Amino acid sequence: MKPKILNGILITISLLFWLLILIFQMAEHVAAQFPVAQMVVGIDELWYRFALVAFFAVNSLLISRIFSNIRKLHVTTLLWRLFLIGMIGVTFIMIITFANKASAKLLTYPYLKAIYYTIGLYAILIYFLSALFIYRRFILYPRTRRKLYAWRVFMGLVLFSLLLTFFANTPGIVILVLGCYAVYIIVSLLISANVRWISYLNFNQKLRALGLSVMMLIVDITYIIAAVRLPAQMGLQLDVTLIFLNFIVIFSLIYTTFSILVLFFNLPTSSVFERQGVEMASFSKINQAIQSNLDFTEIMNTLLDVTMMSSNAKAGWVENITEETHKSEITICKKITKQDIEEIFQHGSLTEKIVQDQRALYIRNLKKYKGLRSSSSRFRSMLVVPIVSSSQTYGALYLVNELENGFEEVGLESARKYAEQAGIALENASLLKNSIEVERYQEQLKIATEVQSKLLPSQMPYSENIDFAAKYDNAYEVGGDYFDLAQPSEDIFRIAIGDVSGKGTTAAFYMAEVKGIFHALSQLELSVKDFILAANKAVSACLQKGFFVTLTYLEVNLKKRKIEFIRAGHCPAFFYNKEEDRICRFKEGTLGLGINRTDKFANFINKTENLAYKPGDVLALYTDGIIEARNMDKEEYGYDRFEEILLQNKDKSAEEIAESIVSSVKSFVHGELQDDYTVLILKFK
Amino acid sequence: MEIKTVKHPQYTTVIPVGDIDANSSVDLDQAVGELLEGGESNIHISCKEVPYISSAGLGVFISKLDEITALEGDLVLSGMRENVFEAFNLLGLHQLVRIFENEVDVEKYFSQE
Repeated sequence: MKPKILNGILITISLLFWLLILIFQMAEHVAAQFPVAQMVVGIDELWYRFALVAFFAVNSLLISRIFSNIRKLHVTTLLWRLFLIGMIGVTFIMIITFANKASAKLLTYPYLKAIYYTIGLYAILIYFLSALFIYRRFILYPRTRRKLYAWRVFMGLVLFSLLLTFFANTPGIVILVLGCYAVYIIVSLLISANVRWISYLNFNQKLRALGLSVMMLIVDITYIIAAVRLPAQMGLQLDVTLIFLNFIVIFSLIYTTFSILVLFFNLPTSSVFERQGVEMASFSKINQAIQSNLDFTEIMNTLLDVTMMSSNAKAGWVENITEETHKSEITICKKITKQDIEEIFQHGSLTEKIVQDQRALYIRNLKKYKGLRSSSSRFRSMLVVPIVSSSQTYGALYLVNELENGFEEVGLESARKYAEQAGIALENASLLKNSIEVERYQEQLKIATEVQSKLLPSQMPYSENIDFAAKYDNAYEVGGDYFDLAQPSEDIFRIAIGDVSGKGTTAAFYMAEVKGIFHALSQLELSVKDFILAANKAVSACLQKGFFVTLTYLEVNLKKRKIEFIRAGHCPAFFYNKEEDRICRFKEGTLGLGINRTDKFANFINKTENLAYKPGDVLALYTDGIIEARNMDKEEYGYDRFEEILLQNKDKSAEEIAESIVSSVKSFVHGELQDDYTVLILKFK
Repeated sequence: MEIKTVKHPQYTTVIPVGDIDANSSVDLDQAVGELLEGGESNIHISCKEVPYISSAGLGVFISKLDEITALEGDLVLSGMRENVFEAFNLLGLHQLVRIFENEVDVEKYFSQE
């Protein structure tokens, strides 16, 4: 069943029982006036008591349900509501009292008396039940097994009082009832000692709770006076059947009094608890700063705020040691100006010393501190705390106070802890920044790899006479190997294979330059020798001193079935001659490009190589990454192994030859190659 | 890398120990650069303790050669292992610098000048 529906049903039942009690009350008056009526209605005292007990029980259930469901309300809000509930009844009682005084006749009407009485009863019951169950929450805060047990015993007694209602007038039961009262009062006193909730309030909340509790005590007393005096005025007797009500009134009275006393005596100490609360909040603020990776200024701002608050400093600032000059510099100041700070330190700041010692410094009296004696500042005491992490020093935190001995040990301790936390936060922030930077570089390198791979021919040209194949890879993301092919006319292929000195990014940039040079020059009608001369000039102009390019440049004439080439410092080309079934190495050559940057370079070119090719011949070009690949014993792969593998695979396709060379080198070094490598195979058909 | 230098009346011998690659070539560049700044112009680099030279290492020889030529000095090499000599040879550097078998020849060469 939904809680709201159940509460609705309970309210209805409660109202019905109230009506029943009203009828009983009225009937009593009727019976008093007309004795005959008593016979007719047949009122039974027991039935009346039963109705009363049921009325109490239903309302107890209802109120307990209402207040156990309101979880999130604050103590003062609950007390305020309780007070309002009490005021409704008090207002009602006031009205009756004044009405009674204004015209004494009013209460002589028996029916009216009954109505007043029952409404008053209802109001009192609701108020004290509310008090009972709201105090239940206070007593059980924080909840422990022992307290829960004590509360059950207490509630057992309260429920027992409901049973006693039936026997209230039985002769001899008076002793039992009195005994019950005694036990009940003792239990109430014991259970009322649970006022822990008060310590969770701050000063203002305590003051409000105190005010409300005092008001409630007044309400309590008003009710008690009304309960004692009004029925007498109205010609009613104080009902002996109200033991239950008496019980909860007594409890409320005791607990309210206890609360008032404890609240009152706790007021002076509340600032200490509040301070602890503030420190907890500060600590969580610092922790938050650590987790959310703020920048330096924000972390320092937080640090300064919380330490100033927790140490009661009048002003404070942060000095940062700059990375470039290793000198301290004021980065943030609060409630103090840079001039004021400079006034304190006429002989330079303490930051370097503090950071070096990694120890906090407490100057109890600035006037007596060596080096600061001449200070004309209004501040008298100072805390200096280093801000360091395990791997780095950041600076120092300064807190000042206008009094001598202005800081407590506790303040010093907490400032030290906060500064430590801030150090961790700063380290985290810089670690995050570094990792972001590394990631960005990796991203850029990925792009560079992609761009560079586009600089090399993605597809080999097709020719009826030549079968082309190339295999290449870089040791790093980017490399300095280069090869390219151009076909300026149908019968001519111009081919270059080269290597820029060095590795990695620099080599990769120069490799892109070489591509530009090749593309420009290969379109011109230059002889092989002129191409190399022009290329040397261009490379000399582009490349930084000390960098050079080795290059083998070929011109293949399909019509004449001839190859002309120059080796400019590059690894010798291998040519397999099928007719003679032998391999020829072309070691003759000139300087690498960019080594001699003068016109004298031409003097180093003696001749160009000329070859005539026939079907089945193979020209193998490569870079030093192949020949200089070293195994674990630092042995080089070398020319002989290269020649051998070429011979073994000479009859295969260009693609297969290139593939077998690379796999042969890889199996020689047992893994990936440590240098950039390129293999370019031309198989003639 | 470890680089020893020995001063002779006519020239200074530089003895790099270990591979000359992209990293160690910086040290060699610096060592020779300091000698040139100190007024030396005849430099002899003994390669007897260099098992390997990379293209970046060769780059140092090329740039120092330019500087020494500008100072009208002389750069000579000696004691090369076969693979190191091969690297110089391939690039054509043997056409630019004098390469001797051993130190005796180097001494002879400078005393003749």
